[in-house]
Amino acid sequence: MKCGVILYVEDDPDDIHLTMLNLEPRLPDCGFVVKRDGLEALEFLEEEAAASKVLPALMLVDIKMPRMNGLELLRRVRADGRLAAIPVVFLTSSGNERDKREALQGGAKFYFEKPLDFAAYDRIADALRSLLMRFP
Amino acid sequence: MKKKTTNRGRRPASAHRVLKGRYSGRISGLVRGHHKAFRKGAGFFYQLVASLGDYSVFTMDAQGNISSWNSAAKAVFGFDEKEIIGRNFSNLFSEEDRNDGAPERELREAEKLGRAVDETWHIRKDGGKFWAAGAVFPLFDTTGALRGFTKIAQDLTPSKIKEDAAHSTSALVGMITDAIPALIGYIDPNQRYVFHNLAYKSWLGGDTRDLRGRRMADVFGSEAYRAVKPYLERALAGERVSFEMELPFEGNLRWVHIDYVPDMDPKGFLRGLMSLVTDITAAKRSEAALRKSEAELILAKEELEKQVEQRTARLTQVNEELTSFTYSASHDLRAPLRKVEGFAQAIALHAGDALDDEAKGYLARIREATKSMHRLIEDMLRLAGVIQRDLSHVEVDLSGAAAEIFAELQNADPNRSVEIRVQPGLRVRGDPELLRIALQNLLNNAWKFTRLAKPPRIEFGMMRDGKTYFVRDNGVGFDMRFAGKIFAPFERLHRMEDFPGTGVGLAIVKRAIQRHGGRVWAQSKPGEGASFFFTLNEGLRS
Repeated sequence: MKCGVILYVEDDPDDIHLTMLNLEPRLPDCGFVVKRDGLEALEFLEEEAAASKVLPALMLVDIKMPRMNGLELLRRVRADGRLAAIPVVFLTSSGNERDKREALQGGAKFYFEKPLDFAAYDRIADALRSLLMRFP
Repeated sequence: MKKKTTNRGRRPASAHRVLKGRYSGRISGLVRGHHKAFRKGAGFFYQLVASLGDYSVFTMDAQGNISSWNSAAKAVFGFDEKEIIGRNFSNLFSEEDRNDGAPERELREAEKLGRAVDETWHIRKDGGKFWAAGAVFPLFDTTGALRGFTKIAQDLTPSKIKEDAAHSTSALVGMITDAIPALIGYIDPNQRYVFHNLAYKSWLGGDTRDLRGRRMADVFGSEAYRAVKPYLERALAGERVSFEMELPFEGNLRWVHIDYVPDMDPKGFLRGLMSLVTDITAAKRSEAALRKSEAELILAKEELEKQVEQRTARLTQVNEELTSFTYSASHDLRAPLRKVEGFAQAIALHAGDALDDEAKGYLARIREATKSMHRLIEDMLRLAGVIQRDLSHVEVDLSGAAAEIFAELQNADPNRSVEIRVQPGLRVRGDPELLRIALQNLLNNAWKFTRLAKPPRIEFGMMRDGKTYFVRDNGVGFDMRFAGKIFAPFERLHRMEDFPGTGVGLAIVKRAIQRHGGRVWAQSKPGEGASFFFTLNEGLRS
């Protein structure tokens, strides 16, 4: 399956490592770009868009990040006509009902809590794959 | 009439003859003179008769014309001696009696029988009637000839009796009123005392023997009088007044209750005034003391309430802080825990085959421990949530929730076969989240502790009382000694390897039930299963 780029926005290095450890084997054809917070991610996207480059096929976003958190990033992306089409999936440590509601109502496609057990990444990979398959 | 003139100085009997018949009742100087001589001659007896108190005594001639008249007779009948002498005694009778011939009968009876008694109306000079009892005795001369009569009469009119009775009554009244420590007095319209009881002496001191005739103002002094004057004046105008006041009595201040009762005659004029003065100093003092202690009590109560409020506020604050802390701490512990678990798995993935069995074992135990910690954190978060959450109040289908939970349990453990019985139609008003959490914990426990039962049986339903729910299992049970402990957080009764658990589950159940105003309790016998009971909405909801 042709994948494209997954933009992974996460500030915690351990989480980055563990997530990548689990997703890369499950999505071997996808490229991963990691940005450390919402602001960095947004700036990256805006640059790519401005340069008419191919945008990421999917965004995998944490909520708790410095400078700009995941929910704010979601709002900004949805508000930007150039970026709004990019599917956003949340992968967060927050089990907060309010965050989940805000994310899904804000346009996120899926909302996952960071799993304890590696086996749970199967489900996450399946969900991402379902979104990537729409990528022409 | 026989004429035997044997006595000296006596008028000849012929004088009597002149007097009888149609001459009876005519007073002539001759008759008067005759009677005068009679009286002088019997001076001693006249004196005797005069001394007979209120018995009327008079004499008559044989025809009933009055020949002598004592002072009592005058007092009773109203006639002067001068007026009545020579007149017939029938004038003293009522017209009816006269027409009836009663006077004549009396005389005849007296002459015949030696006495005649009557009790009848008699007539006074002013025409007034009064009731009298009388006795008539005949007077014979030495020859046995009728000379005349004596009549003795006693006034029996009610007023007379009343007067006598009144005299004895007033003595009784005096005795009674003297025994009463309150001032009882009666003043006339000029505010002079007509009557007072003995208490006046002790209240006013000194030689207060007889205040009758003295003015009230003088008796009580100007200061006290001035104070009661407005009330007194109202009473003297015919109004019954009652009031309380502090007044000086011989230098002592007393709190008194005073009643002035006007005594009005039927025409509406004031006859006098009754005054009743009761000392209420003691009562007033206790009243004041009572009010004071009441005020103090109220103050103390307010103070106490304020303190309770303050302490409750502090406790509430502390509770909130603790819960909030629990929540934050639990939340923040999740991240590092996840990493420990993650990297332990990473090691297994990365170096899996390179590890020997012992190392693999250690890894497995790390993973178990982290899972355990994770469950504990989740439970603590849930407990904090149960405490903090705002309650909703909707209809909750408990039967449905139980069925769902059982389905989830079966799903997670498909190889287990458990006999499940859920009573249908159990609905209640409450918070769906909290109730679900409570049921979940109870059913989870039942599921867990029936692991060794053959066959495992779990039942959820309602008792016959219509308000107590139960979750019953035939699992491992517990010793009732710990029945109270098990609802406290972190309390466990079984070994981790036998039945894992955080020890927080039942604390969550208890909290959730309590927030619905209910109670939860348990019954069990080791090896014979356990029953958990709970009620909802019994009272205070928080």
